Amino acid sequence: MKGSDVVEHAFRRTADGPVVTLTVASADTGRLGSTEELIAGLKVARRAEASCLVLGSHDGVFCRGAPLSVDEGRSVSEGRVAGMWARQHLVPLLQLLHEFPAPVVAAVEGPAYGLGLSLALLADVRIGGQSARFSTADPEAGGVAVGLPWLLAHRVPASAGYMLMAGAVFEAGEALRLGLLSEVVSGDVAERAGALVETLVAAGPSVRTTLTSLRHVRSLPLEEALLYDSYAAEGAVSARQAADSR
Amino acid sequence: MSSESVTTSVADGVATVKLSEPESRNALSGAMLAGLQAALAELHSDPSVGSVVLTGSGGHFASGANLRELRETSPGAYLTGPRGDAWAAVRDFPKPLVAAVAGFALGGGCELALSCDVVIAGDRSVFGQPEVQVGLVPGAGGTQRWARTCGPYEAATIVLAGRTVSVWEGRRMGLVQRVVPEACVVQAAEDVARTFLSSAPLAVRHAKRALRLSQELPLGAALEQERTLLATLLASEDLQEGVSAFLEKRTPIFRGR
Repeated sequence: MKGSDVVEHAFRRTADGPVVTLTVASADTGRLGSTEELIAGLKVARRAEASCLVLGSHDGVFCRGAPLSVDEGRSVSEGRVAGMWARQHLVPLLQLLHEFPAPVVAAVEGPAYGLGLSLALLADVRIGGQSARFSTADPEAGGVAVGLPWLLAHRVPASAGYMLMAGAVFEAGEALRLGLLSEVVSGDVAERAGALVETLVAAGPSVRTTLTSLRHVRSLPLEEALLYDSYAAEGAVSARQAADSR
Repeated sequence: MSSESVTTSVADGVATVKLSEPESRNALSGAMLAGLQAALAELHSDPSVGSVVLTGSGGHFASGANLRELRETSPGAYLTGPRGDAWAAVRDFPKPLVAAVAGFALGGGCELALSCDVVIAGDRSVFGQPEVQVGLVPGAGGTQRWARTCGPYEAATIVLAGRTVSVWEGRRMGLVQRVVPEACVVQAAEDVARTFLSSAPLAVRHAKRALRLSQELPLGAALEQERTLLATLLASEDLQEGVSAFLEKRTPIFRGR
């Protein structure tokens, strides 16, 4: 798939070698675009065995939150509509991202609010430009967000309670301090994300084992996690031996 | 000890039975089930084998029944055909069976894993009963074993919706006993299978039977059966050897008698 678009969709989605970039926000609203489109893109990327997935920003916006109307214009201010939409569309999207078999990098510029923060937190590596800002709330309109308590508890445990209760907007520097970002980029965020991707791709298959540990093995009891690691080590040694003998 | 569809190898008391039709993701065709039945029959009577690992090939465990074959089967032929005997051979196999699941364990493949005593699964494996989505119901224990394994309510979300679950959800539900990196799933299952070899073979068979009865009988009847099973072991050579070795602080040498 090198050198060609992965699929033709409404959102900017390009494939650069084995790396797939998805822009999550709609160009019109800055809010989450079509979940069907994103899910389709993730499935294509998965089938194509993408070695890295980048969640990118568009025109200085990562994602302002969930759309305010769904399913042919129905407003998410109706609880039933919001809940059904979240279960039918958001949950599968977030689960697919959580289980994406390659590293996920979020390159955050501008707002990552509510659902946008959920999406950023699902990334394994997050970088932000100086303009990046985060909030558990959706300051403009209260769009639907799911997963934040779990994600904050698992991704940035020390600051989870504070973030959830403060409901404030955190600018890039504070987001770095809170652990929402691994670095703040002073120059071109997309360029820096590209360099990060190169590093991850170059690391090879061991990255996937590390990902599984980061995402899932931590939920196991310690004894089982240690056993998992022992087999991971066994597999790594066997792979090295096989490579050496060729 | 191999057929076209099923291959068997034995090392140090542990047999590994592999479903070997990677092009169909090891679909459980009539030929595949017959091969499995034959392999288990041989291993049943082989005294050098203490436990068995059951696995797939080509990165998957088993994708379920061969739907084209099943569509051509009449109700009468299904009920009287050899499939039931093959599944009974799995169910009644007396030695410990350890499933080593990688990739898909769907439909009949999932039921095959559920029929084993222990399920060791790779970190990317997926379980599920999608039968209702093609107009069928599980026919090899799926409705019964899911309910017994994780309760009727969890089972309903899987069996009635044809839903698949990741290995991590399967671990939480109690279906999977250990999650390991996909590439090491057979080694990990063989390691577990090896842990049964130091126990007295007759006692292991009786204990396995008692565990199975716990899923089939009311508690009172199952407890009575457990007492009977214990009583039959009182006259065994293995018991004499086990107690002697314990008192003499040495490793017992069991002969399965």
